[in-house]
Amino acid sequence: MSFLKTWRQAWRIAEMRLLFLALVISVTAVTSVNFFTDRTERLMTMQATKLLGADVIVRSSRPLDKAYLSQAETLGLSQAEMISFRSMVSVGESLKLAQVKAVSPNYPLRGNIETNTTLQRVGKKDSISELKPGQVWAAPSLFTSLNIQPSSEVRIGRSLFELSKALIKTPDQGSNVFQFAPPVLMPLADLPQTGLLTPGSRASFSFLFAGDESQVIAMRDWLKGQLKTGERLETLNDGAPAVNTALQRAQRFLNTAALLSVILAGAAIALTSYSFSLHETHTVAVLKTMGASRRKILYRYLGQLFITSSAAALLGIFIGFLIQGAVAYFLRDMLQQDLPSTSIFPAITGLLTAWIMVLSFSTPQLLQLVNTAPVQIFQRQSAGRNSLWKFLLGTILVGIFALMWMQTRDLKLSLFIFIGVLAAVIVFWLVATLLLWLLKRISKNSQYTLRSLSNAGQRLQLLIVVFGIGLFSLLLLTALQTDLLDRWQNSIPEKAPNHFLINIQPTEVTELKNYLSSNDINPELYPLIRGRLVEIKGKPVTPDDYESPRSKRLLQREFNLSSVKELPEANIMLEGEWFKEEGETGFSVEESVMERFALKLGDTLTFDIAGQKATQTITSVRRVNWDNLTPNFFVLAAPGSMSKLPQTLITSLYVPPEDTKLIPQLVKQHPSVSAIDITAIMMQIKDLISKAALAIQAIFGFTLISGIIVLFAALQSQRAERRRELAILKTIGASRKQLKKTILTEFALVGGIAGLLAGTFAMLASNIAAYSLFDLQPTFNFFLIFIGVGSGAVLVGIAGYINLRPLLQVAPAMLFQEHEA
Amino acid sequence: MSEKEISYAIETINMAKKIQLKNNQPLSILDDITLQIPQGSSVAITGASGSGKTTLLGLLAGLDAPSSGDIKLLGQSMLNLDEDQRAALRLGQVGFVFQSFHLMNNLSALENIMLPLELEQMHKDPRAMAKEALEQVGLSERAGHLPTQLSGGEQQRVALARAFVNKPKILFADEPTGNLDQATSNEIEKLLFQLQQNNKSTLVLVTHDEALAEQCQIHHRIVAGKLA
Repeated sequence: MSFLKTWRQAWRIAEMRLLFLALVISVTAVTSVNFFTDRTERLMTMQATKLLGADVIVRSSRPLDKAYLSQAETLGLSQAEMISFRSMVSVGESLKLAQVKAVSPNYPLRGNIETNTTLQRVGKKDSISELKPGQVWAAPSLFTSLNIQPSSEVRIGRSLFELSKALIKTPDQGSNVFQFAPPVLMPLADLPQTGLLTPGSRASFSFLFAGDESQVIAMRDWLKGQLKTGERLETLNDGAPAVNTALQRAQRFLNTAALLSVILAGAAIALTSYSFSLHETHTVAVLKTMGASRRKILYRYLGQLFITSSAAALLGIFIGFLIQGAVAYFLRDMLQQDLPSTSIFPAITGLLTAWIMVLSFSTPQLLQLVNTAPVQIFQRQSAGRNSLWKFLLGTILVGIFALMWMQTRDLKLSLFIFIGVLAAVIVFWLVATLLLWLLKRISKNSQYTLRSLSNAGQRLQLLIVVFGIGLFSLLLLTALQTDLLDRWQNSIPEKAPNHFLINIQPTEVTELKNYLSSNDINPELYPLIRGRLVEIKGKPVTPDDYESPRSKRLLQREFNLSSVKELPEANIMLEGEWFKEEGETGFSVEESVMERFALKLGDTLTFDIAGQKATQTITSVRRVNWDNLTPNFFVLAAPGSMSKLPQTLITSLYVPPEDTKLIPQLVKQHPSVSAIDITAIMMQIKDLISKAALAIQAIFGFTLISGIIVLFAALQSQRAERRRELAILKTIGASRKQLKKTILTEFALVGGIAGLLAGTFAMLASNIAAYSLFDLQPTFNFFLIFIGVGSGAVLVGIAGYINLRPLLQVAPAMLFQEHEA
Repeated sequence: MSEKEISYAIETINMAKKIQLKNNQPLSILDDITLQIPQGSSVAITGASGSGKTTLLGLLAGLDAPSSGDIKLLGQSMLNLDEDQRAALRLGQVGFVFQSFHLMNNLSALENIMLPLELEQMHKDPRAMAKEALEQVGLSERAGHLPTQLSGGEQQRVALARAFVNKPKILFADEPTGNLDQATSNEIEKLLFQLQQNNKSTLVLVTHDEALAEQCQIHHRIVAGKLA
């Protein structure tokens, strides 16, 4: 049978048109979300790589092999070089230890440098090409410490430089907040004449690389095989934890939104194929009387479904592409930049989505359909042979799960939502059955509306389940969206700390606290003890014992340990117990460190702290909210356990931007204290969060619309049955007013029940999701239940009425005719 | 077996149909039916509602299997055939006309008529054959119309054209005029017998219309599941 003929014949079947519509909607939802997610994910990744200053960095304490640069050249990546070391910067008699970064002319590869010619903390975008030979730029704190203004002359090593501008922001400053020496940027070409770099001097040599995704992957993989001892790779995943957390949450949310839109569409398609198989019973019986075999009939339907779903997918992909294009266009001004272009992947996902949906949702129906006994042709009514259980089981479950996995590429998230939805379906069905049973009991002597409802049986249960799942998806998304955005934005409050003070000597604490409190600032001071992890469970450990570069690095570097009385605000206890007041034993360890070194409660850790060994048992495990901008620690020791060990103190505080004197004054009084301005990092994180929030709202809005359209599609699938019912009621004399009342009551009741169930489940699920997927604290929002009942009754009532109203206007005879037709 | 050797289009031997009720009680619908329908003849089966005449028609056409006894369709025993094998036996040899027409609503009049030819997959030009059949029932100008755009009488004429288009050896008709007014009924009956004779088909007709039954050569009455 030719393509066009099959298409034309399939199009004339009402259910096929509906299936087509439902598929177009679902593919549109999936692809527009995917296209948009694809682009925003790229944007966010780009945004985040700016914090590294590159896509990939190789670092070593020894000069790096130039072969790395030529390989990058071959692969087509852009590259930059940086040598970083500590050195004294001096003006006359004043000295200050600075972190000198000698950089090649194309630094940075990602993100921007911001400078200012005054000491204001507001920077302007600048380019390293403006840094002329003989000039250096430095952080404002260096100016303050040396008491100089821009354009002063400073000495670094053997050379004199003009300190021409204040360095407000470099892209890579986010990765190490605790780098307390003020950064100084110097042209790489000027480095040799300073005489500072001699063989054996302590410096960090870095090559920076950037390119497109495939180039970066190729370079990273190649480098992995080449790295020599002491050399390490840094990629986005190793970047600032605060940014990673924000990014991961955004991606998970976008995926959840896309996933729920798949479920919404799935509900409509399942209903459509259910009614399709009921209505095609006679056709199958006729074909069988003509001598068609089951296989032939199956192929005939599969052909129609294949053509319908492919056409719907193509149209959906096209519309999805247009919609995301429009959304991206309107967001352009808000995002202040164009989104990167999209890949072909979302289109392929769209096509696969349509095929998987049709195949998995229709196959059980089709198999049942082709087994229709030919004698059914003599029966007036198609036998109601489909029970919801059969209908849900088998390939539909497999199909839904396949779609979820394909959509999220995240097994945990898919499993979570899959089990959640499955549980919801079962509970919704049971509760609907119970409610209808109750309705039947109370409606025995009541008026027609209630009696007809209680007799509608499975149809109502089915509608309650379908609408319930639809509303549940939308409410869950609403809850998660509101929660996520609120909590996100609250995680960096208005007056979040914008300065870190480190290197505070214990003897200075009282004086410093007095100075700060005279300025109305009363921050909490944390002791900071630097120690190297040398033993686990009493056995010595070295970096070579571990495969993962991050584990190696944790063992190479010194840990920042602290000891506090109370659990810091940004921490959640996962296991064990917090320290007792003035307790002197125990470590509280952050969960990723536990996982990395396969630790358990009760294991011991030994740190080498300035030559002294400190061994304690792990007494608790914490989860740390890294995007909170207060000092956070991987390992916390019991309050009384560290007091005798050498330590400095650290704190974070908020200084109003207009107060330009507080910090310089403080540094003058306490020359050994280093003040780090993190305003720039905070701005970057805030910027990322607000962009992610916009993307989330745009996608949420779209999922909402597709959800409403799917509700209509679900109603449409039951229209034929209603038509017959209305015809009978009209024939026996029911007035239009009565019918209108019946319809409105029925749908409002169905919607209300569905909304009640959906709201309750959404409240539970959003809390589980908030806790286990987004690391947020649970809160019970009972308002969701009210929204559920209200929106369910109104939405479904109105939608149901709009859907059936045309039938009320038609003469009963016509209704019968069209039904027969 | 060559066609000449087949003396009966349909033959049943002690055929019975029983069903199991929900309470596990057996219910006998047809009992001990033995009949022979000669090739080319026209046979009417009449009986009251619920007498089992439609069940008998379904069994004779192989749409259902009997509980006991055997049925031979065009000389072939259907005793050990499964549903698909019985369907294959009907393919191209058997036509059907129903009380409620059962045209495919998504196919035009012409496409409905082409359907049995396409299923057979052995005709060179199904479209031309279907057009000719449509002409025979006087509906050439309605070829592109969908069933919903046709009157009841027109729909039954399309159904007749569909039933006869591949010149079936046997035509089964279930109350073919049951849904039509008297004038249209007369028209359809005339057309039915005319097409049967032209095609030399065997006609098996189930009806409760005695006048229609009288027009057939053989008349079987069925009372409470047994041939009277």
